Amino acid sequence: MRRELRQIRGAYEARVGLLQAVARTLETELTGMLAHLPHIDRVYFRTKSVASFMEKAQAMEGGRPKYEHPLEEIEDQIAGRVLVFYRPDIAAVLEALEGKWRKAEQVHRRPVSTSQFDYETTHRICIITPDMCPPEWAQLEEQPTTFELQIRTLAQHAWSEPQHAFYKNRGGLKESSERKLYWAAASAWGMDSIWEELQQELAQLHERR
Amino acid sequence: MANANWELQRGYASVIYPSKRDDGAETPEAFVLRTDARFRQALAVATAIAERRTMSPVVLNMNDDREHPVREALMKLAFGQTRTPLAGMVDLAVRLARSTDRRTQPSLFIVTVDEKGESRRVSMYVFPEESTFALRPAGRGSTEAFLEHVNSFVLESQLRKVARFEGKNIKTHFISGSVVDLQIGSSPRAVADYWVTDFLRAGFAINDVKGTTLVADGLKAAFQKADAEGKQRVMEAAMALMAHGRRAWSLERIASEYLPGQLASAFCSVAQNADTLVGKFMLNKDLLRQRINYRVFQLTSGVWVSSPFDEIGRSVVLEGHGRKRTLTARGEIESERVRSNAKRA
Repeated sequence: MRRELRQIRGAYEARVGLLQAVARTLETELTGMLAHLPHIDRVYFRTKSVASFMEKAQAMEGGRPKYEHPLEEIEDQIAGRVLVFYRPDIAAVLEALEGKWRKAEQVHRRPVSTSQFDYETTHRICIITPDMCPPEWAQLEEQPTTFELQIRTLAQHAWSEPQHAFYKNRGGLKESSERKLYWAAASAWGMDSIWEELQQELAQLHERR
Repeated sequence: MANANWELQRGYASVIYPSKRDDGAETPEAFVLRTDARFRQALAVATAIAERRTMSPVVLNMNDDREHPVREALMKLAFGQTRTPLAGMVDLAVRLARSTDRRTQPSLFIVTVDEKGESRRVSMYVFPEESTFALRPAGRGSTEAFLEHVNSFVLESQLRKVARFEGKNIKTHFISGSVVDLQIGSSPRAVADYWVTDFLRAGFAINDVKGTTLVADGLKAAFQKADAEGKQRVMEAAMALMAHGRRAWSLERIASEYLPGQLASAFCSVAQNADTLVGKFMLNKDLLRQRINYRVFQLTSGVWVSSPFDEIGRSVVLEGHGRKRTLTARGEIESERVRSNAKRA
């Protein structure tokens, strides 16, 4: 039985402090886990704002609420991001995580068609384990069991962050504006490709020396 | 493990004949158990035995698409309608038989499903098969069975393993659970943890690196708080852990086996919560050596030398190659103690 939205909001507001404590632990732990890797620009975590959580909790799918138990089902209540310089660094980050932060799911989100340019980021849903949680976590009802980690390049990030504001208004944009949006996505993809080639050349140069 | 408000809904059973690497093995038969009053009473006693032991949290090793064969079987058992739960039981029984090699005796595999509101709890128990009790089909071709001599089942059986998963019928649940395995960790890994690694395709929730790092941090915390004798105890604990054959440890177990009162408290203070304190993990000895930054040498003369890594090549000099190596230590003595009956692992 789905709880009333008012109750859901109250329960979420009450847990934000705990979520923040877990987020801090995760940020410290992940920073340490990736310390040996080059080309890491940033590691950071956040907790979902009450407004954003409530918006998601009310999402509909096929005429029904998407989440019957939003407090347990919404997986980005705690979310982290790793920004890397080059595309191959994403695989290196995932390798560093293997066996440590166990995944519930992992997907590299990108356009399905090769003729499209759009959002591109690796999403890993990780399982929350007891060692990540403060003592009060045990008393939390309807606990989230997972958190989200996004791994992307700086170029992917440079497109993804500003486009978020346009994402929900895509239908209202002029055709020429939408074209510009995807042209920017194509440019970000191109930038990643160029950086990757240049980085390989640089590595070969270092090898020869 | 508390039973508060959980109500037994149904039970299933199967006799498991180990069939690892036996492609021609028959599929184990699975039955719906008659959960009459006697069985309920017997199960209550058996589970009470389990409840006296500490459960260790585990997480399933999911694939990228959020699929896992054990989770799928558990979901069938917990939420499936009509014949689906029994199919889930067969899936688990086949999996357990194929995870168990012939060095293990046949066993009785019992799965129960409890209900609490929208939530279900699936508990899996493994008992050694005893001649004094038997699983009897209710009739020829029947999928229902009952346990004969159920009192013997309670009194004579020895619960070997338990695994428990609970939650709602949503995608974020039934991906982690808890286990008791009395055999884990005391013998080589391949034999010992078939229950967690092979059958459940899971791992301890506290991963090797995190668990080992907590041990190193705990030892350092205890070392800092200790007096001279206490420091010696902490060093001995570190050496004993590195020498011990057991691989699965919990912080609580290390503290109770190796550290006295206050040192144990300091050691355990690195655990964020009670679950971390009692949860098992696989100790990575190489990582522990690296993290505590000490190397320990035993000389043929019976002398033990423990040295911070930084001092190797400085005040502690190693010479020679391969098996024949010698060690020379030189430095000013800061303190000295005489100990009788020094405890070494």
